[in-house]
Amino acid sequence: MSIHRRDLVLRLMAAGGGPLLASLAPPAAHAQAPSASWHAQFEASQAPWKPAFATAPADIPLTAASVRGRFPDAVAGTLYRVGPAGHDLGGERYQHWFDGDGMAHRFVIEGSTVHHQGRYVATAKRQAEVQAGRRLTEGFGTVFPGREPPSSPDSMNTANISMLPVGDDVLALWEGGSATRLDPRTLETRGLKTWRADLAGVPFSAHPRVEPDGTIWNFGVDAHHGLLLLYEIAPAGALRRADAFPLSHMPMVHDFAVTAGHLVFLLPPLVYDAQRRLAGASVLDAHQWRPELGMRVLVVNKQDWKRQQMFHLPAGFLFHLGNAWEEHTASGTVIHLDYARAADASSVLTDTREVMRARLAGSAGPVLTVARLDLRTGKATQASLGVEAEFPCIDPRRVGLRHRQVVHATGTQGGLPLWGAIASTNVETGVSQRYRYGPHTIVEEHVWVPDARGPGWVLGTALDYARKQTLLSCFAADALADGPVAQATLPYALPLGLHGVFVAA
Amino acid sequence: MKSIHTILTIAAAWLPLAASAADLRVAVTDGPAAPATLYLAVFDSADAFASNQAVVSQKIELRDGAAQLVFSGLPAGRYVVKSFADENGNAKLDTNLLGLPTERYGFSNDARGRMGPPGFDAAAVPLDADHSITIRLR
Repeated sequence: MSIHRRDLVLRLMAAGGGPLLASLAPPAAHAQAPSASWHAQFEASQAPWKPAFATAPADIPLTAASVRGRFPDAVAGTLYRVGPAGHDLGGERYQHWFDGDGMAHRFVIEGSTVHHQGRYVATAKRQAEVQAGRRLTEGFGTVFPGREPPSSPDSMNTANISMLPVGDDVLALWEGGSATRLDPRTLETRGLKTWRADLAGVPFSAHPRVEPDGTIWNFGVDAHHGLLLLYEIAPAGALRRADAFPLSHMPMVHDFAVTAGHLVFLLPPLVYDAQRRLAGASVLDAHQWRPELGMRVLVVNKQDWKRQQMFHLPAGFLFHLGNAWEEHTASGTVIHLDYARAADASSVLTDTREVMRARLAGSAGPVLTVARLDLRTGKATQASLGVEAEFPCIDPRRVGLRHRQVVHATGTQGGLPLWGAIASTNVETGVSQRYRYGPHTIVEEHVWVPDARGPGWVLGTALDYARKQTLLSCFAADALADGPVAQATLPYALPLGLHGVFVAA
Repeated sequence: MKSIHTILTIAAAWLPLAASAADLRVAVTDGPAAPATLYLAVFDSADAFASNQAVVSQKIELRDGAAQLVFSGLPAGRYVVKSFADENGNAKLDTNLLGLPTERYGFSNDARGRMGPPGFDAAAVPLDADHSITIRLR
């Protein structure tokens, strides 16, 4: 190939020029690339951060970490985490970070000792596919050619998003279907959680909100039928109420918030299109970015779920809210909330897809944003705090109440989702302090552990991909910038996980 | 034209009688391990399938999640067999709040719908002589 010819091809590639490339390129390089090619691209990549998205080869038995410092008494207990860890099978690779088989983790913390165990959730999907040695059905963002469509939402359940202790179980949460019950001591899979007979297999989302009194609120999205499900669960784990309500232009909803009197949903204009799904698109690709719809905000009365009010904010996208609370003023009730706002949905549509072939799409990270909903006037306003933020987390004693500090990841390095620092930001003043991990370290979610004797602790994991070690760090909640008071180092790297929960000993 | 039409219509009307009746043998596998009653219904057209008007139906106890039975003397044609395992003895395929089945079910041809039951054509099996099929419950 001459220089000029190569130039032309490169320019066409840059322009996304289709027809010529389609005839030049081998089939594996088509836009609808077979998953084997993603596997090959990932394998061939020299990206140093690749371990973040590698497949965990097997369950990890309880292993002692080396510990620097001493973990405070208040964080004696277990940090449960989960995340996609089974990305490859039979030479094929998922094409979205959120597709992978969930691996549950427990970090058992006791002063100067920390032990870690990792265990794949034995979902029906994983068990059947591992036995077959290949993927049998699709994932959230990947449809493998020639495979059967899922027979039910739970037949593609990967239990890979979050964890929730309920009763004698710790639940591994997904979004499109059931929660999966695990043994909190062994992480052995016990089976699917059925809250009530008629709720078998019904979507139970991965961001339940637990109020200070232990009441658990959650939602579920049945996009195909355009239904929003609501759940109220007593502290001991018994379902109090569940119901489903129609919602137009059903968007991708990952998180919500509760106040003293309301449930608050931010509805980004990434809208499900049933026709796309029926035509064979993945769950993700069945969604369409429709900025003309703006960001709707649905406020549901906690006591009477039929009492609903809709607000409107400018178009934007989010995964997570920090918290919401309501203020009773002379002129009526105002709900305050904060969330990690992005201008559009490129993070879920592009960045978290491209990392699966070891590429960074480089979208801007979301920014911590505060919003105000006036229930009397129906008017919503918002303001950016200008701080890049993801995985927001607050003191669990302040859920639904007025809070000031939000702990969050910040400072992407090269692109999403390679977060480099952990920060604490005051949502009323915008003042923020941070601790930057090393240059080769990716920050995962950090949770807030309360301490009756003080402001509490911030506990979370990070991946040092240069040393191929996962770290567990504990900071004083009011002095993040001072660095960790204690840090455990595992003798191995875990692929990046998503969410977790701390359970005191 | 008209006479050709008439001839075809008469021929079509006579076809089912002209063809001998056949037996459809059905083996069902992958039922629940727990005791359950298997319900099977046979449909002879897309309309009948859509409106749940079976030409014939049977029920039988599952043993170790499996059962065999015969629908005898069916006229030649195309048929869909729908089956489910009733585990709680209420004689219906239970569904959740969203209308999705919560008991095991299956169709002839091992047909699978996309976000719903399969279409008649995807699940239909031709029957012009005695024939055996297997239905896997899911």
